[in-house]
Amino acid sequence: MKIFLILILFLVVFSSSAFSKTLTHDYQVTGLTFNAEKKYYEVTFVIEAGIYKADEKFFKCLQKSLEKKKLAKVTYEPMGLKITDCQ
Amino acid sequence: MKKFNALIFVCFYLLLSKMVFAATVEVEGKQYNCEAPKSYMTYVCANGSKKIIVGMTDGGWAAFSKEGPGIVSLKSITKLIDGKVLYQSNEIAPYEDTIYNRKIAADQINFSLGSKSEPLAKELVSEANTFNSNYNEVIPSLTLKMNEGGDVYQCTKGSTRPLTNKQTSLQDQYKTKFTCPYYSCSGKDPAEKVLMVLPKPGNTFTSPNMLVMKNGQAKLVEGGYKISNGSSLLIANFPKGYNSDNDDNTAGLPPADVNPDLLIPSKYNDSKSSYKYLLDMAKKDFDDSGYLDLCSGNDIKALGAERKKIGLAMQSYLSEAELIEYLKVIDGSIHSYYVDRKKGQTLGCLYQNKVVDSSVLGQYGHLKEISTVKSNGKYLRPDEVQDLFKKAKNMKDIPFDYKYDGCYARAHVMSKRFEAMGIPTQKAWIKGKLFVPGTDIEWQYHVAPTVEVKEKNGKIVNYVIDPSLTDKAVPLDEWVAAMGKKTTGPIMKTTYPFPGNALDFQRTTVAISPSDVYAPTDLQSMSAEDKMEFSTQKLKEFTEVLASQGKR
Repeated sequence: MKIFLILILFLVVFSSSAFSKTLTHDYQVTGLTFNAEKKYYEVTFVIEAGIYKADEKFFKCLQKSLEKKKLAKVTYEPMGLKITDCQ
Repeated sequence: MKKFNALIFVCFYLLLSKMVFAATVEVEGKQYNCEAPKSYMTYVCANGSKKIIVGMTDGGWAAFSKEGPGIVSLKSITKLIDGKVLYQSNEIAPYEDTIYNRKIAADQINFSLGSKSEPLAKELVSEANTFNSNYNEVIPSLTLKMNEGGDVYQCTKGSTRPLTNKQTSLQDQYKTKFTCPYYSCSGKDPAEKVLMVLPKPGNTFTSPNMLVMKNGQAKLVEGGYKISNGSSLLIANFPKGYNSDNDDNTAGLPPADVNPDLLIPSKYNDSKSSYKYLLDMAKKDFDDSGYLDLCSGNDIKALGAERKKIGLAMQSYLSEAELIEYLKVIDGSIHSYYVDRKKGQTLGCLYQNKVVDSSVLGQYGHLKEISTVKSNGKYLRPDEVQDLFKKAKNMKDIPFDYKYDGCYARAHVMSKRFEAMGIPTQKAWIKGKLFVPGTDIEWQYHVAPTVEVKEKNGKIVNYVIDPSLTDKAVPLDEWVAAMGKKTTGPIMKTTYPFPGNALDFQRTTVAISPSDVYAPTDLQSMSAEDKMEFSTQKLKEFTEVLASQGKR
């Protein structure tokens, strides 16, 4: 029973860390398009091929990178490419 | 002794003036001496008999004064010195006495001075309240006169539909009136249909503008006109660009590295001023923050419908516009843009049917290198290309199951390994709004290695090796067809570098490049070692992501 509980605990911890895994990289924004239907910004970067998704709260940070052609420190979920932070 | 007395006098004078005049302020070229503030950030100042109060508005420092019974003004200041310079700005256009500006002043006085104890502050608040109690927000009809040319338009305010209960309660709560902000105007040309918006005084989110529509074209006029209603005092005088954030990027299409005018199809040359505005509106399905919804009159509804018709026509024409590729060096790299064919043809000489800007001439050797695919006559057989696909798929360090991103890294590592096997390899590129059918995966571009195959009928065909997308090597066209596309325009076959703004014209572009090319943007600063190192690092990272998901 004890082993079973430990196993469950391990699975819970493992799966939550898997879901919460994020990556952080310095990227230069090349495009910002508001998706009116889905209510988020679609973001593209210089090399990256995926279309990333960002909440409106990150717009200013991403726009700055786009306009100044500077890198932004972007944190995102690699499964789904949802941006969770921008600095 | 005389000198000593003079010195004493000067010191005494300076001390006295410091006690009385704590600060100075410049307003419209006149200097005012100010008393030491009694309330926080509030100065009572005078120039002769003229008294003003300097305080903070929601837009910065400003000067308030009384101009007559029930007439107040708000003027911008250019310099405020209190011991040190507290504020300084460039010369600002002098205050003009209009109903619009009096209303702004009255509201700002209440905002800034409502809680102040200075007698002048109290007097100004009282005058502002007198003005507000007599102010009529609704101006049923007005005359608009252009500053340039002097054209005159007669405008009638659109009627307002009955408000919902929620709107009525919000109206009461914020002590305002929700009314249709649009006017229907007519000038000397009966064919013109004119929709004008007059925002409330102090509304900095909406610029006063008029949309002049005729024969499927539209001109957006933002300021540059006076508004009156027959009385001697103007309602408003809006200089050109008043409150506008339209910074002349008339195309509204990124990037600003090319003249925005080149991005506007020749067909809409007469609509340059409205092109960005109407395309933006089309993208938002003509959502104007509920303004049009407040209007009930057929005249305004018809003008709103005409605006929508022109905007939708502009949007739909994007995929049909006749374009030409324009190559230009920006930040040291060669970039390609789609521009209007007619306007673009005169910009330089032609290379591979693209117009080359003079900035590219210094990099002509490099351009040739990245845009030309050399065939050395060594072709794979159809069975060999399928074997190669299997070998690629078995490259365990490449996470083909991670499809959200990283194609550039997969393509680069595969290409270099194929070349190491003695197989001439290029890269196949597709750029657009792409998606992998049946998934939530979207790409702005995709790339994979491609090799030339001699088919049984002797035809040479490019096959693409892309285990992340297909389960065997497929001809280029099949690879292109395997991706979903969210564009309405055609697929354009071109060469590298391909246009970065193809999506703005609803196009998907396909190109083949030498294997050394790394990204959609020509990245000359990246060495061969950098490219391989970056790719290896990315592949490792994505492998770890899959592992964390229990998928590897």
